[in-house]
Parts: sequence; C-alpha cells; structure tokens
Amino acid sequence: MSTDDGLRSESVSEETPLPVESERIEAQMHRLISADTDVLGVETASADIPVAARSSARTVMMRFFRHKAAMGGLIVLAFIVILVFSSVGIGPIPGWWHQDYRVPQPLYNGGHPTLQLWPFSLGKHPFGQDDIGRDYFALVMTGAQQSIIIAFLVGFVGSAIGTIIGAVAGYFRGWTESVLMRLTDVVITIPLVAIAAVVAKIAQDWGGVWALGLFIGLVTWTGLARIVRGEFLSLREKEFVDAARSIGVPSGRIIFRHILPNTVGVIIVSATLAMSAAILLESALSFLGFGVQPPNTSLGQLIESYRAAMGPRPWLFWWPGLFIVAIALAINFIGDGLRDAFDPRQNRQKA
Amino acid sequence: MTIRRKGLTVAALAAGALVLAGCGTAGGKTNSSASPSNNFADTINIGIEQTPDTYNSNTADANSVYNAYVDNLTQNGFVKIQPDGSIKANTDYGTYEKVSDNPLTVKYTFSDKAVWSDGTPIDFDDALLAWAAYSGTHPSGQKAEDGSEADLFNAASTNGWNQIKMPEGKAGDKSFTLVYTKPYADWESLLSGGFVPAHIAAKQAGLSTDNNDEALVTAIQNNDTATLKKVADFWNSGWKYQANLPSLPDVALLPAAGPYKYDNASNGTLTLVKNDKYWGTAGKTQKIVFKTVNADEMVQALQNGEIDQFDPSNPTSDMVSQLSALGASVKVEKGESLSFSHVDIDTGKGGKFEDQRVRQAFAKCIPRQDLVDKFAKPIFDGAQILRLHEYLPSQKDYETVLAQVPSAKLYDTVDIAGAKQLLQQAGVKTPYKVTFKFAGQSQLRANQVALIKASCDQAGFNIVSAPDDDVFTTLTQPGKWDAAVFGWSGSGLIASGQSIYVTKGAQNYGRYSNTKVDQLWDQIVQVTNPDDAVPLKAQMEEQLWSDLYNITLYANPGVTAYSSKLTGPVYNPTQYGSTWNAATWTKSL
Amino acid sequence: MTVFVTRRLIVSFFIVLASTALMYVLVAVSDNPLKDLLEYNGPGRADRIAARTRALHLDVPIPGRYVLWLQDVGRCVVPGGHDCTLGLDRSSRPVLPQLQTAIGSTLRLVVAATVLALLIGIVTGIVTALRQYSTFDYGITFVAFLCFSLPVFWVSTLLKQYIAIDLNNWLANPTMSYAALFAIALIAGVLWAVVIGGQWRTRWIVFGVAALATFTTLFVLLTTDWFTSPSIGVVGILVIGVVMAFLWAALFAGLRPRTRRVLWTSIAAAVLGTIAIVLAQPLMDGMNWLTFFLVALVLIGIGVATGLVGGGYVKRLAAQVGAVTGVTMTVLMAIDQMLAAYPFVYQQTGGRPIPTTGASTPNLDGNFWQTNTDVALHLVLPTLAIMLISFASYTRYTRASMLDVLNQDYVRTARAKGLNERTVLVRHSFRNALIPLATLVAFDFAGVLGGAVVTETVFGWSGMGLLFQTGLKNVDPNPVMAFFLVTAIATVVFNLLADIAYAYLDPRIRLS
Repeated sequence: MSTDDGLRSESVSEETPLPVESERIEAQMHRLISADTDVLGVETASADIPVAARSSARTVMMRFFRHKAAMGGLIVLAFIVILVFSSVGIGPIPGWWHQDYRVPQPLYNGGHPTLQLWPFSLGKHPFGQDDIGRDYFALVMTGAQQSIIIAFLVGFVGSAIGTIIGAVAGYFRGWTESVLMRLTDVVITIPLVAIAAVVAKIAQDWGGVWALGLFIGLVTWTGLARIVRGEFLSLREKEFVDAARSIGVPSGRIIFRHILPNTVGVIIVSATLAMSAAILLESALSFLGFGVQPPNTSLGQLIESYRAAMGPRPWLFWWPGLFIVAIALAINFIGDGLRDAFDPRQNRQKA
Repeated sequence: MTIRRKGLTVAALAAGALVLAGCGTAGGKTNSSASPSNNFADTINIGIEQTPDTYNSNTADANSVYNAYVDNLTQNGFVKIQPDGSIKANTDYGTYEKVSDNPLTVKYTFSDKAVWSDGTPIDFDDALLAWAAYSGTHPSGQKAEDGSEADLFNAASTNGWNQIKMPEGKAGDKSFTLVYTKPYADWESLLSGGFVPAHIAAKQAGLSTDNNDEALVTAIQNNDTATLKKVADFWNSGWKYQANLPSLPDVALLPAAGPYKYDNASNGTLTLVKNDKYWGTAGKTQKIVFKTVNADEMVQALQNGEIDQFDPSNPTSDMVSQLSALGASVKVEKGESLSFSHVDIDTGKGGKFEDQRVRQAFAKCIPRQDLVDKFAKPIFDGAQILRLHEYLPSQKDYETVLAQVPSAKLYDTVDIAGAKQLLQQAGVKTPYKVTFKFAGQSQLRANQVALIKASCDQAGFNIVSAPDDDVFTTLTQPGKWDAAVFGWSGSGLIASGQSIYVTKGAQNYGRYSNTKVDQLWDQIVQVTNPDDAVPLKAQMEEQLWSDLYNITLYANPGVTAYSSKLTGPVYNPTQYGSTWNAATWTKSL
Repeated sequence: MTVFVTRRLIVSFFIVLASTALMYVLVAVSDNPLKDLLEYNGPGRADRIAARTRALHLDVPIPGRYVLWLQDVGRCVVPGGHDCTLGLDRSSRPVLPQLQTAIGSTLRLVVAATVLALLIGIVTGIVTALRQYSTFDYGITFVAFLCFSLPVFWVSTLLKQYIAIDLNNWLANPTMSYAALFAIALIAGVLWAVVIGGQWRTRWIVFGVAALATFTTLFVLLTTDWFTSPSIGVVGILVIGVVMAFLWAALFAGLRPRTRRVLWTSIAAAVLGTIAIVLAQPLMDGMNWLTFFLVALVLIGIGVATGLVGGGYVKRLAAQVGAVTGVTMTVLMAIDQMLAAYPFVYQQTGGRPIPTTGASTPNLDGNFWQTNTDVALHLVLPTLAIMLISFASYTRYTRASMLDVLNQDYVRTARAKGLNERTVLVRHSFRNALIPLATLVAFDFAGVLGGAVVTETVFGWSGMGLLFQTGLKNVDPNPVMAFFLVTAIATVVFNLLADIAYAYLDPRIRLS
C-alpha cells in the first residue's frame, strides 16, 4: 500500500497484467464513442461555463438540459415509461387500460389495429390482437414494462457491483486489487452473449424478469469496475484524500463520501448505456430461446414469438420492435447527453 | 483551405458520377442456360430444421429426427408404414410370411435383385447383424452405476428383437426366419428398416468379407465377443457424421439400399443422387438436397426459392397464415399428426385429483372445443376434439373404436354449473388450488393454460399457471404438480403405450392404477394379429374414460408446405415424415 | 518486452483456466441434459437415456466432469499427445473437427463484415469529423445511434424480406417506373448535396448534377438490361481505373507540380494494368486462388514498376501510389469477372440469386468466379447485419479520435507553418487518429466472434455460434467449451496484441 505508485495508472505497468491497454481503450471508448460535446446540441454550450475542476451538479444539469438530442431522448423515454406503467398498471395497482394481456377475446376487425392518429382514437384494440385474440396493446405495454424493469435492474445491479469492486480495488490496491481485478478478467474473457445466455438459462428456473435482470446484472459489471478503478487510482493520490486520511477518516467513509462523488459522472453514464444495452441483450436472449419465458412476456419475447407473423399480421412484429428501438435510442441519447454534461472536452472551435 | 477541400469533394462527386456512367457499357450477354432434356428440374431442395447426425440411425445416441427423412430415400425394409399408420408390404425389398402363431415365427426372403449401391447383395449377413445389434444379447462387461450392463451394440431400442432367437442360416442365404420366444404385437412393423450393410462393418472391423461375409456370420453365431467388439465399435460410431454436417464420411462406407444414395455434404447441406443400382422403382428427380434451416427462417427460405418443401415441427397459425399469404406459389397440406395434447392429472394417493368427482369437475370445466378452435383449427380446420388415447383421428380404426367407448363423449362441452356441483359434492374447499405445469418457453402451452384458467376458475378451481423448464422431471415427483398439459407422440405401434397406462408405468405420471387396464395391456402386447388388439383397446379406453385417467385435448395439427412447382408431397403424420414418398416427387421448371 | 509477454501469458493462463471452470459449471447446471429424452415416449427410451448418461458422464459429479474435460484439452496441449478431441459431444462425436470447420466459416463471415464496416466506418468517421456540426454529421450521428439501438434479429428479418425476397423479385424482371426513377434521382441528389455541403449555390449545383447523373445512369442501365447480365467490360475497367488512379494520386500525393509525376505514373499503371487484364483473359476460366494471387501480384508489380521507372525524384511515393492502383485494378478485374459470372449463378439458383440462409448453393459446380460470386451473394445479408452494429462504433470512434487529434498542438503547428490541408489531414492527423482505432479493432474482434451467435442463427450459418447455441440448448458442455476456449484465448491474445501494437505505434508508451 505504498502511495508513490499512483502514476502507474497512466502507463502500462507490470502491476496490471491483463487490463492495460485494453482497459485504457475501454475507458477512452467510454468517453469517446459518442465523442465530443454537444453533438446534436448547442454548439457553444460550455462557452459561458467556467472551466471548473469539478462541475457542480447545477452546471452539469444545465449542460444536460441544453443538449437537444438528450432532451428529446428524455422526453420520449418519459413518455414511454408513463404510458407503459400507467396503461396496464404496476403490479396490483390497476392502470387506465382495462384489458388483461392474458385474456383471449373474440377477434375484432380481424385482429387489425384500431389505433387512429387523426382524429386520434385508440379504439377497441389499438395495436390489434394476437393469434388467440389477446389485446396486443396490453401485451406490448406489459412486455415493455418487463423489458424496462430488466433494463433498470441490469443497470442498477451491474453498476452497483462494478462500482464497489472498482472502488475497493482502486482504493486498497495490493492483493485486494489483484484478486478483484483478476476476477474481473475472468468474467471479461467470456463473451457477454455467451455468459448472459448461460445465466439467463439458469434464471429461467427461478422464473420472472426479476431473476433475469438480476442474473444478467451479475455478469455485466466488468467494464464499469475497470473504469471506476482507474478513476480511483488517480483520485486516491489527490490532496483532499491525503488530508482526509491524515485526520483519521475511516476508509469506508473516504471511499464513499470523498472519492465516489467525484466519479459519479462515469458511473451514471455507464449505467445509462448499460440499460440500453440490456434491452437489446434481453431481446437477443429471447431470440436464442434463453430469455423471459411464457406466461411472462417481454418485448424481445414478443418479437420472437410473432416473427412469423411479419407477413400476415405485421403489427405483431412491428410494435414491439419499434418500442425496443425507441427505448434504446432514447436511453442512448440521454447517455450521450450525460456524458457531454459531465465531461465537456473536445470543444473544437470551428475552423 | 476550405475551398481546396470543397474542390476535392466536387472532384469526388464528378468521379462518382463518371464511375456510375461508366457502368453502362453493358453488352447484352445472352443467358446460355443449358436446357434440360425434359420439363423437370433436376434438383429438389428439402428444408430440415436439424442436420441428420448419422448414417446408422439405429444407435441410441442418434439424436436427429431428420435421420428418418434421409433413410426414407436411402434405406429400405420389408414393410412401409403408410400415412394412415397402416402397414404395407414392400415387395421390392422382399417378402415375408407368418409361418406360425405359437411360437410366433416369420420367414423373410430378400428380393433376388436386392443389392447395396456398391453392388454387394443384401442377404443373410445383414439380417444376422441386425439381430446381433438389436437383441441385447452381447454384454460388454462394463457395469453402469445402477448395476445394469451395457451391451456391445449401443442400439436405440431392443424392443421386439430381444424376444427373437438367433436366426439360423449361412452366409449368402437370401432368406431367414425369426422365431419369437413370446408373442410380440408389433412384429410386422419391426422390420420396416434397421438393416445396415454388414460387409462394411465387417471390413472396418478388419474381418474378411469373402464368401458373403462368412467371417462375420461365424463370429456372431459363435458369439465371438472379441471380434464382435470391433464390429460393434464401428457399428456404434463409425457411421456418425460430424456435427452440423460440414462433410460426409467416405461415401464408400455409406452404401444405400433405396432409390437414392449419398453423394456429398457441405455446410449442413446433404445431397442425395439417384441410386443407379436400385432394382425397384427409380426416383424421379436426379438430386434431392436436404438443407438445414432454422425453424423460424423456413417460410422466408421457401418464399425465396431456396427450399422447395418443409415440414414445420411446431406449426403455428401465424406460420400457416404467412404461408397462405404467399398465394398460389406455395401449397400447404394440413392434417392431424400422430402426436396429441392432453391434460394429465395427479390421481394418486394424496394427489389433488384423487377424488373422482374432482376429476370429473375438472374435465367439465376444461374448454376442449374452445382449445381446438383456438389452437388447432387455425392450422387445420378439420381439427376435432380427441376422444381416445390410443387411436388418433388420422388412423383408420379411430371411428370404430370410438363407437365402442360411450364414456369418451361425456366431456365435450363446458359445464360450469355441473363442475361446481361436483366440487361441492366432493366437499373440497374452494377455490381449489391446482398447480398447472407446462413446458417453459412454450407460448402455446402458456396460452392454453390461460384459457383453461379463465374457464375453470369460474367453477371453483384456482389454477396456478406454472411454467417449468424441466417439466418431465417434475412430473415424476408427486406433490410438485397437480395438473400438466403436454404432448405425447403416438408411434402407431400397438404395444408402445403400455408404460403410460399400467400401474407404476414409467410414464404414468398421474399414478393411475386399475387392475382391469393392467390385465388388458398384458393381453394387448401379445396379440399377433393387429385386428385382435382393437376390441381390447376399446375396453381399455372405456375404463380410462370412466375413471378419467386424463383429459385428451386434440391431435396436434401438422403441416407440410411446398412450392407449387413441386408435385407429389402428401401430408404424412407418422415419424417417417414427408419424404416417405419423395422418390416420386417432381419439380417443374 | 519478453519478460512482459511471458508474465502476461502466465497470468492469462490462470485466468482462462478459472473462467473455463466457471463456464463449465454454469453450462452443466443450466438445465437437465436428458430433457428431450424424458419427453420421448417411443421404444428404447431407457436405452437412449442410458446412452446419453454414459456419453455425458452424468454419473460423475460436475467438478469431476470438468476435470475430465481438462484432461481432454490437455491431450491437445501435451507435445506428441494423441487423441486430441477436445472431448466428445453428447452423441460421442469428437468436438475438435466440429470446431475447426466452425472457425473457418465464422471467420469468413466476421472478417468480411469487419473489414467492410471498418472501411466505411473510417471514411464516414473522418468526413463527419472534418465537417463537424454539419447536416451530414448530425445525420450520421443519428444513424449510428440508431444502429446501436437495433435488435439484430429484428433487423435481419427485415433485411431478408426487403433485401433478399423483394430484391430477388425485382431482379427477375428489372423494370422501374419513371416516378420511381425520379424519386431515386431526387434522393440521390439530396444525399450528395448534404454530404458535400458548402454554400447554398454549391449545394444546388451538386444536387442538380447528382440527380441528373443518377437518373441517366439508372436509365441507361435499365434500358440496356444491365441488371440481368451485368458487366463493366474492358472500357469500364479502363475508365474507372484511370479515375481511381487520379483520385489516389490526388489523395496521397496531391496535384501540386512537384508531385505531378505521381499522377502520370499512376494513370500509366491503370492503363498498363487494363492491358494486362485483357492479356490475362485466357486464364480467367481456369483460375484458382494461386493464379489469382499471381495475377494480383503482376498488377501490383506493374504499378510499382511504373512508379519506380517514371517517378523521378518522387519515385518512392510514386511506387506506393502505383501499388494502390495495382490493388484497385485487381479489384476491378474481380468485379468484372464476378459480374460476368452472375447470369450463371442466377440460373443455378432458379432465378433467386440473393439467398436468405446458408453459406453457399449446394452442387453449384461452377468455376472460380462463379463459386465465389455465389459465396459473395450468400454473404450479403449476414454481412449487412453485422456491419450495421460494427459500423456504428467504428464511425463514432474514428470521428472522436480524429477530433481529438485535430485539436492537438502539432496539428495547429503544421497548419501554422503553412502546410496544405491535404498534408495536414493525411500525414499528420489521419495516421495518428488511426492508432487508437487499430487497438480498438484488436480489442473488439473477440467480442465480434461472440456476437456472431445471433447472426449465424438467423442466417443458417453453421459456425461457432451454432456450436455454442446448440450445445447450450442440449446442455452439452463440450461444444460450448470449445467455442468458449477459442473466444477466451482470442480475447487474451488480442488484448496482448493491442498492448504491443500500441507500444509499437505510440513511442510514449513503454512495456515493462
């Protein structure tokens, strides 16, 4: 636990066998993949913001709210979430849409969607009916609800584990770090689809989306763990940490009260992007037959079940697909906006 | 510098346009398509969902159901099972006659002209090897943990053959006689296939193949275990294909006895060509190609002309409507398959359905007609409620037997009031909780349970829908389930259903026990004339229905879809699948 | 360096060992491997269950089975060891040959897609970086985010419907209404105008020229029945070759008088190359990969030679550009030949050349060009599907990395000392922007291998994905482990390569 090796985090050192360049790249990708400030946003967002060492929550929020694309994403996501949870209700709380997604009904209008945009009217079955006459609006809403729950669970569980492992490894260093980072390496060698498929197959026996979300979360923390560790490695050498340590603040408190707040940006951004990835991962797993199982439903499972319907009853194929794309896209834009808000680099003056 | 950059891009644009314009120098090359001699295509492509996994599909670890699709064209037997389940003698291959009923003795004679596609005659050594492989009389000496001893030959089934004495004869004989130690009801269909080329196995085991494989015949007759082990090793694994069929083993090892023979394989695609040595009716098309396509991708592949025919293993109404949306370019044949859906209930001691009145109440609230209308009719509009267990509507004896089973018609319509009353009489506390198991991942079963729940909850049941990924293990554990919906596949055999219905039978999950049913089965498995089994089974059916063993729902609808360029496919519900007559198919250009 | 690599390899070995154990146990407990047999009620049920139990060693506890698997792997590692099978699957078939064929077919899929995605991703990435905050930039950003948000199999189904089935229908009778022609021309015009940008006047001109060119080209192609028997012909090769030679020279050497010689040698290489292609026509029918590479070598050689002979004091640069022109000529020759082979493939596939499933048409029995055309057509849909995702990340990454570089002081210095924009971009910025990208590709590749699982399933491709998926479905650990062994080793090796490459490309980093 010597304190003079902090610089090693920047260069390739023997202390970090596997995750050297790959890790750096990951961190960089994380920062860069959607690149510079204000893509699709205002061009001079940061012009009037003082370049402070640590952005306060307020300036971050201001930057975020000026990001047009992110705001668009936020509005779309909010709309979807409200629609999805208010329509069929949450758990025991009923919603305003009074059709049960499980109850088959006689086919109305041949099962065609009755949604009308102008003049706007939902009709009896806005998204049509499936092969046994269940209301497809209720099904898609329920499926979207489940997919969103999975996404949030994965984002939350994965980020929590990743943060803790990364923080502990980065702060304590020594053998704690070695053990934790080697554990990360072990999980990271397994392709995400592969390990997710395997744990999802196990989760099927436990039933429900909660198990699925939890299990996938248990294997998707590796990227964040490395990033957080990197942040901790440099932050732990800062004066304010030395100061805290010298007056005898316990390690736990230093980690959670002093260092962690400074890394909250990367964590939030990473959690957001993990959520959009989780929605897509869930759909891929459903396609491979390892996802949510009936009678539970999810967007991925709906597409998979009704893929054959693309010709004769296209609405069964399109609606869940559009919802997946809309949710994932909205979350991606929000993540992009958050990243720019937290990390305003690359403000290129127009040539 | 911006101007310069713009200049560059304009140049690029101009270049792009030039490139495109340059493409127009097409000389009208004529399609020199080699016009075939007749009006038929020389290749038919059949879509299958899984690659065949071995040439010798009689081994216990042959897992692909599509082996049978290939064997239909390349292998042969003394009888052919027809789509209605009846047995038809195949005189091309040979003849047989029952010599005696007691002991059951059958004499078989191979056709004089019968040869493998490498020219070797099909004769006694092939029959003797079949017996050696399936009779289970060659212990390997290796004991499993439960004390059972594995046989040298890893045969898929020893049923029937294990009651046959070693056929007598000598190498080169064209005929052989099978003598049963006790009567076996399905003796006739036993030889619908199962012969593999003994001369190949002998040669690969290092034996001489002189004199029609005399060495192999002697080894089997003398029970020469050391030699047989080498033969068995090849028989067990030498004919396996690589997983996903990237290529075939040396085709010299794979002689055929049917109208087609093996030619090549690549990327999961198997090509058969006409067998020029075939002595019977020749195939009509030069090549038959089996293409492996994911089940969900079949319709698009058919639409795009990559396959000409396929049998969906799990047809859905959407698939059928998608197929019919393709219009005249695709034909769809539908029917009722040999597998059927049913609701099993735990009738054993302590089970939720121990009381007969509860069983009856349950049967009265299950919307059978509604289930047929919702899940079977959209696929095959002739679908009906299945009222028997051992006979299915596609089989010829169904109506005859049904006429003798009056109790089978008692539960055709939903009777909520009657069900309520019965539950009251039984004195059970309502709502009566029933854990209803079904295979996880099955949207179909989940939907069905939802429908049953909607109806039976009104009668006083409380159905708990319980998807289970390992439902067949759960079924063997009483107490973990009360009711379950799943399918059985009927084999068309007379005796194979025994273990489902007799006391302590391996698949009698509901712990049903009735001495009369047990006795009837003892008789059924020993009849040697199929017609004798019909009245016995009718009695058994009546007993099953009056006791309410379970509630049958419907025979699962089946579909075969093919390009309208194709002539010949017929829907075939048996396990042989649609290719049973593929040798007669033709495809117009 | 050696110490670093050895150390890394030793640690990696233990990491792979641990992750295989984890994976093996997870797969083995994921489900009941006897499930399908329990469902089966035909004759021989017990025999089949017994056989499966023996094959998968189900009577041995899971850790024991893992050790058995390790032994099987060990046989492949120990020098001179025989029986290298990587274990047997549930039908007692060796896994190694399955893996070998699977790797080949997956690589074919993944490499093609990665290379294309990389090319397109880099080009759009650079253009968007140069034209930051333009409509084009916003458009590509949106498209990239959209690609990130698409479920692969959902898109694949759409691709099959619209790219394969509908396009095949159209190819059977390639006609187009005038309305459609106008619409396409208008769209093409708008696209070009957006891509090139600039003043409104420029945009209108670009729009007009592009729309007109598109319209004329399509019209000519349709009326000459080009879509049923496509070709570019010798004239086409010559024209396109010369234009490309011009572009390469402009890009790599610039059109300044000082390097004018490069332009001339490059164009000469294109002309000589066309002549060589004409002379090589008799070889085309019996061509195989060997002769193909020889011809390619000759064409590149011509380029280099013209550069050296006529390049004068810029002969090095001229030779390099000549080599690029040589490669271009090879590609043009291949395209010409494959287009000529198209009618044959069209006829062999019953008039439906773009397939939705499989890796090749069985029993095609064509020559080199015909089989390769068929293979290329089979690659169209799966490549598109994989590309959509990879393209998105490559274009974003290139853009970000390019912007990063453009903001560096040395670029500003380069501009300040009066270097022209081409030199600044090509020599100073582009090369340095590619350094992180090179390592990203290495880092990404193992992930792409894993990600191919879904794509392979959709397109009936029997590669590693199928090995993994059927293995997991059947609870058959050995094939799954074979898949996993490859991806794990690839991850480790590519990570190592990425580090070494980075240290090699970026002198600021030292490996210790």
